Amino acid sequence: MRFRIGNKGISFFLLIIFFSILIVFSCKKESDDNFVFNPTPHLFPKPTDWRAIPLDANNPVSEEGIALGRKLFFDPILSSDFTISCASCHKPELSFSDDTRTSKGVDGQLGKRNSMPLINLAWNKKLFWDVRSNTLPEQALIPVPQHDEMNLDWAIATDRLQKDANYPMMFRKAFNEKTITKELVAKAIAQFEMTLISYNSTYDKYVRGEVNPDPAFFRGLEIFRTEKGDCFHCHTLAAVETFADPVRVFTNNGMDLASNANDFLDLGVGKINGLDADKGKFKIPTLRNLAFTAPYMHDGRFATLEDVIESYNLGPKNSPTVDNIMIVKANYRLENYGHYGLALSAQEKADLKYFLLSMSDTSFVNNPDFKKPIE
Amino acid sequence: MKNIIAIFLLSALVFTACKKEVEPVSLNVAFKPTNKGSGVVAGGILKDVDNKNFSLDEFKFYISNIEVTDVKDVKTKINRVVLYDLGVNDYDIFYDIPEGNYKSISFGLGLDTATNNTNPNSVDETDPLSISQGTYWDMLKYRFVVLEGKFDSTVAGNTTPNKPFALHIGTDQMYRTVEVFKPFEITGGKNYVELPFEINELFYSTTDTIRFSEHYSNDSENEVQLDYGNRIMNFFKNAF
Ligand code: HEC
Ligand code: HEC
Repeated sequence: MRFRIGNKGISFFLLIIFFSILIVFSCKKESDDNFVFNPTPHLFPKPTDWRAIPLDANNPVSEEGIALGRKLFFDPILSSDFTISCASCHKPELSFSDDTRTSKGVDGQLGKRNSMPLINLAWNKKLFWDVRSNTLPEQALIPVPQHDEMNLDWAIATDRLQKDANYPMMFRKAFNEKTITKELVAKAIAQFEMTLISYNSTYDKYVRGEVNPDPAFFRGLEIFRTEKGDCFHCHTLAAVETFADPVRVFTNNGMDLASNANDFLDLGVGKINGLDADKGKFKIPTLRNLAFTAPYMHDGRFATLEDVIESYNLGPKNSPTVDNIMIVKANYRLENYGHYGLALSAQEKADLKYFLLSMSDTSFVNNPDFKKPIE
Repeated sequence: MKNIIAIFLLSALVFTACKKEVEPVSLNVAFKPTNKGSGVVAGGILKDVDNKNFSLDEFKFYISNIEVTDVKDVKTKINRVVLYDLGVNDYDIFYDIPEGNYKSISFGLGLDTATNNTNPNSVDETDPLSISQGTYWDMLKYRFVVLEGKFDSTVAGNTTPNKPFALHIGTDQMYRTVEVFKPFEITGGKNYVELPFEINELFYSTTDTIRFSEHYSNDSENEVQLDYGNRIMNFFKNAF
């Protein structure tokens, strides 16, 4: 700098020039087409007694990002033949699951597993039945190129979006980026998915003291959270957002008999990590919105909740990886009460079903914000 | 002028350098389960009271209301709950304890009633009382002690453990307090106290023994289970 201390007038003048140039330059960057990046932060609901929503520092959620993610979620533009969207297998009226054992992708190809409901996903540390994915943006990259789902190369997908009349501006509003990448598509979808929060089931209202449920609810709850039904060891009610044991995350709930770990039809988690000890193990699913998510289990083997309860009622089938606690409890029942299974009466089965259904939230499946956006 | 700046810079340097070297006074308390003189690792073969094989997959317990007493009977409270977790977290480090000579350390095994009433969703994810620790029962609040593994149910008991056990002990009545008389000194920097205990001592006293074959399932749900739970907690209290 050439000006000296004491020459205050000149230095002030120079400073002003310097800043005006700066301002002009920074304005220019944004204003070549009058675009100003100004995303609106999204306010998440915070139900009483829930853990604060775990936010993703790499993907701040905005209204613009949610709107974009929602459009993408329902748009078959992301499939090779323009027929399949995420919503084809994750239907809002079914709590974002599907009502068939496995779902049809492009060309009517059937997938191998039952579609999972998308609820309160931000609180899930692991995604998919075999927990192979850790985050929502990571997960959202998978279905598009997958052959039996949307079967579209990401390069073609982003090219289609880039040439679309609306998408480029929506991406700029959400991310301040002109070039659409698969990572941005995934982030936008993840933002929409994070808003899919369900917290208004009868069970939730009971916990908040807003309703006084029927006696059948309490009888079912008692079976659920005591050794009688022994559901609580894996489906933790206090982990209210997911109803899943936050430490175990996945296990083998004894639905299949196997003498060798490789005998399971679907090796589940063990296929991903190669460990025999994890073969036949699957993610402990949420029990929210069961009224809308039939059929049940990773392969959709049970059409009704009666079938599910009947299966648990028989007691765990033995295999090298069956959950230890289930075996402990079954051995204990056999040695102390003379029955290996739960031995629930018809009334008790009905009560348990009644309680399971109380965790369903109609306001979630009817929420207009979660439906296909109107063009 | 230049000299002043140089002196200033130098003293700033010296200052920050000094700061680095002064270590805060800390006390590292480590819980060390042993089995017949050897260490205990998850999944390893252990020998029970009758020298039969067993193994532990999971061993967790809560420690709370920790207090150290110095030789002049001055007590210092450590306001922290610790969740011991075999192979994952077998120690905790405490600060703000005055330097000096100590004669004992006391602690609660499990949680007192007030702490047991914590809402597990109201605390930080990493807090020992968080729902994320997997220690919270839906019905009975916190499990104070979680012991899971397998025992060898054959008569000889010298083959691979085959029968699973799961002992989950909790409810307010299971809280026990322990005082271990053990001289230790706290001076500048790091200090260590080890609290070893024989794992089998959770299952017997001179007059009473509990064997896995008779007791392998506990969720503190009925009179029988609560009785076993109380006995195990009494043994545990005396294991230190
Ligand atoms: C052809 C049907 C189909 C399509 C299309 C599809 N999914 Fe899925 N989705 C599934 C199935 C089946 C699973 C379980 C698969 C597994 O575990 O291997 C699943 C699992 C998931 C999960 C994991 C949920 C959990 O609780 O772990 C998420 C998230 C998800 N899908 C989001 C999406 C998104 C986003 C799209 C669009 C980009 C999409 N899906 C497209 C069928 C589909
Ligand atoms: C040992 C852990 C464990 C116990 C105990 C347990 N479950 Fe499950 N549950 C699971 C796992 C794991 C799955 C997924 C299994 C699969 O897909 O193959 C599951 C699946 C389910 C499903 C299907 C959900 C869906 O969306 O497909 C229902 C319903 C269910 N359990 C209810 C219960 C009830 C009721 C009880 C008590 C009678 C119970 N569970 C006990 C671990 C457990």
